[in-house]
Amino acid sequence: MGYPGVHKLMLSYDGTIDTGSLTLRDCCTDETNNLAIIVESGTNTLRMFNLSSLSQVGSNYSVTAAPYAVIMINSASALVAGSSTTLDLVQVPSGYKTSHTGGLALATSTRTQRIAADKNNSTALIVTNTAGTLVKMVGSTASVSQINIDMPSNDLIQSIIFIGAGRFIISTTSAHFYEIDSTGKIYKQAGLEREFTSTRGTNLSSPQRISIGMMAYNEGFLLCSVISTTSSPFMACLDWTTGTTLESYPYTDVSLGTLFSNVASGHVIAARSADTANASIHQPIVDCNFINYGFSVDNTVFTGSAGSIVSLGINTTNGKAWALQEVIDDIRVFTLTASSATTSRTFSSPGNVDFRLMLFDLTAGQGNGKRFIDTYTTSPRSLTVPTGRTFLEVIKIGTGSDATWDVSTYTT
Amino acid sequence: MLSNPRDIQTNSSMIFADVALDDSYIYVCTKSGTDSFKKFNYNLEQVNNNLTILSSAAGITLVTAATAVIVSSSSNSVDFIDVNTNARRNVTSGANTVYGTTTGPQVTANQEAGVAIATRNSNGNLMKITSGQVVSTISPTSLSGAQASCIILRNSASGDLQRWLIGTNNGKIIEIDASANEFGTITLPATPAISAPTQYVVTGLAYYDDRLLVSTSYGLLYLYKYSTGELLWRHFMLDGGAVAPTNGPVIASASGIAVIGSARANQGSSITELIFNTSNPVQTQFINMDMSTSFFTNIRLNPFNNKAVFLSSAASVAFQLRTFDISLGTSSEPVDLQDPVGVRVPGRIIRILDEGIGKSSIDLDTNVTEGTYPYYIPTRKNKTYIEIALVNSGTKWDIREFTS
Repeated sequence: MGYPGVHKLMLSYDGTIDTGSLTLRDCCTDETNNLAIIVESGTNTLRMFNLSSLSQVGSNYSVTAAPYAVIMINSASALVAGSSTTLDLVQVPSGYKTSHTGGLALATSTRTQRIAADKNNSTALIVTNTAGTLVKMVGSTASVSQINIDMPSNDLIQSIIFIGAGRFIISTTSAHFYEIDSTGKIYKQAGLEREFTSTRGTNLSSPQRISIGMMAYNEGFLLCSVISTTSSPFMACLDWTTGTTLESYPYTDVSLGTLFSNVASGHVIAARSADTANASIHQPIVDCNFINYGFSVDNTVFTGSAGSIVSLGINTTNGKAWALQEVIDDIRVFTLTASSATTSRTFSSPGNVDFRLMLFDLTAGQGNGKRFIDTYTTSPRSLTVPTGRTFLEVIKIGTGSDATWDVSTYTT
Repeated sequence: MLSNPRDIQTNSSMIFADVALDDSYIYVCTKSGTDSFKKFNYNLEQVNNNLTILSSAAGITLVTAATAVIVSSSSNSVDFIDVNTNARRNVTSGANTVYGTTTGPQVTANQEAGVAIATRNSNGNLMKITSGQVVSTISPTSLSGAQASCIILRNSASGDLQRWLIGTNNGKIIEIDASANEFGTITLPATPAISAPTQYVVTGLAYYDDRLLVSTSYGLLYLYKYSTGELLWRHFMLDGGAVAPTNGPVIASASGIAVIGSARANQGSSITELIFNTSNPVQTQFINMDMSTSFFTNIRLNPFNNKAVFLSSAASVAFQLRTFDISLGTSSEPVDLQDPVGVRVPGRIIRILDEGIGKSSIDLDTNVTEGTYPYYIPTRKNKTYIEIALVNSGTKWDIREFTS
């Protein structure tokens, strides 16, 4: 299955947590205490569950009205945002809460990443319904402010993720990405190329708008899920260093796109985000590798239940993963286990110009080689590779008859 | 790559249920409004008079070069159509309705054997339909308790094995011959599971060169090395049915290229072209057909004239039938290793199929010896390759790009 024995994760089902709420809205991971922290809008509470014992920790803690998003703003506190302008900081696991005004209502789009945090700097950014505006909360000073992004007024922010080193990526309703810091300064931007061709049909009079739903980021690769009500949704992987679209695959769903978790070892947990009208689809949850050996699924867990999945996450410190299923009030808990050792390797081109990097894994013998990486990248570039593998490395600089090449083989 | 789309649109109540292809004609059975048999040339001109057929046609195949078989989702009968004279004979003895209309081919014929195998709307059974216009029931043991959901031929590169691959509604693929003798079963993975999957329907199949591609009602796509049953790759593209997952992506394939169409309404109806008999399945094209409430019901590829035919679930939007040109088949490219120039040496050729950044795949990795030059290596037609030659035990290399 997948590419046996090589650089993949095993996904196993641990059990189910009954949260006691049928209106689950979001969940995040407290990696320090190994907790899944949910917010629910039935009684507007925050609840914590241990991912190993599958039992609740503490009580149901009242939070701001209609809480739709929660995230660990630092190692000690969770930030809750909802329909009001009040943001709550809840200490974990004590449940002690402080409330703070000055925010804006959380963006009402569902199944997207509307809150992201730089835990090292105790700073969170929140997507709102106000064009070009994010709410910023600094947990250490409990200050709330609004920041504006220099972007077109008719392009709305859809999702946000934290990618490290003080940087965030926001995505928009016109399939555009911006890399920003917590002041809103833009460092880089790219647009997702619509790779496919629209042929004759009856809807060409309408603009073909596509919007980015979910994102996941690892080692300079960005995975995104495109949502659209008029055009085929799809998933795509980009090399963020150059903005190059690598692979893309269609993924039909009722305008909600694919849900992803955060990234662990180049993998995400993913699922269709069916709305309640289609909740009787028994959602499989997949462990998806989006960087190495091509975009593929390594494991599938069949849920056999109709609850729509609204959120997914992984505790990167111990491999505990979870999926939040609304309607049936459950958190499904899994364990991800790595199957191979890895190391970091740096690739570069003469003069450090942008280059195409292709790595093929020849370990399985002649005739069984497989693509490990094929990307267009800046130089130098550090990537995680499995140890004990024999690779064919091909570097191409330029195109056509003027292209220069380098070829080498080695064992990691 | 798919190119040059052309459409057939008729009155909005008519749905083209299925299509069979030969080198010169497109044979269609329609349902809803008018149940008829139509014959088109590849200029999309109808060349026969509409022939009234059984109701609720669900599948059509050529059991001989001159005889089409049509099966139904509501009528316990089978039509035999002389495609040259437009004559029709309806047979009820031994006939039954087929599995359904939302999965892959419901009837598939092997013309060498003069036999078509069809799904049957009853557990454990298939319909065997002969060129002698006899319909009977066969019951493969491994189909017990389940129904066949789609059927394709398992063609062998070394000759026609006269065998069929049966996809089932309980997550299996069974290989049989016309006498229901079995030659292997693949069971799709159903674990780990919180609860075992239900309605695990095989919605599409493609086979070429020891590679089996399977689509399912959960939108999960699987690729197997068929001879060993090794699962090589899986993906979760596309989607299943709106409420209960009984339909899903449909597949057509030829020469190791699969065309996969979505099977849900209001999803834009995308097509993915996927090369699956290479080391990494490579998506070569992704087309959005803007079909609104319609979706694909069937797709057929004709490797002899490089045509792809798509059927829509409805005619009120877009089209009922659309053809594309598609590049199928193989070619060959010579190699000649010299080091220094003029001195032929043995070496290793690694040929990388290059469908663009992020979409490369090792298509061939072989050794060549001194005495065999020029050495012709098979390629796919109209594809770009990066070819690496390694000599002196891999200590020296050369590289080139070419388009086959």
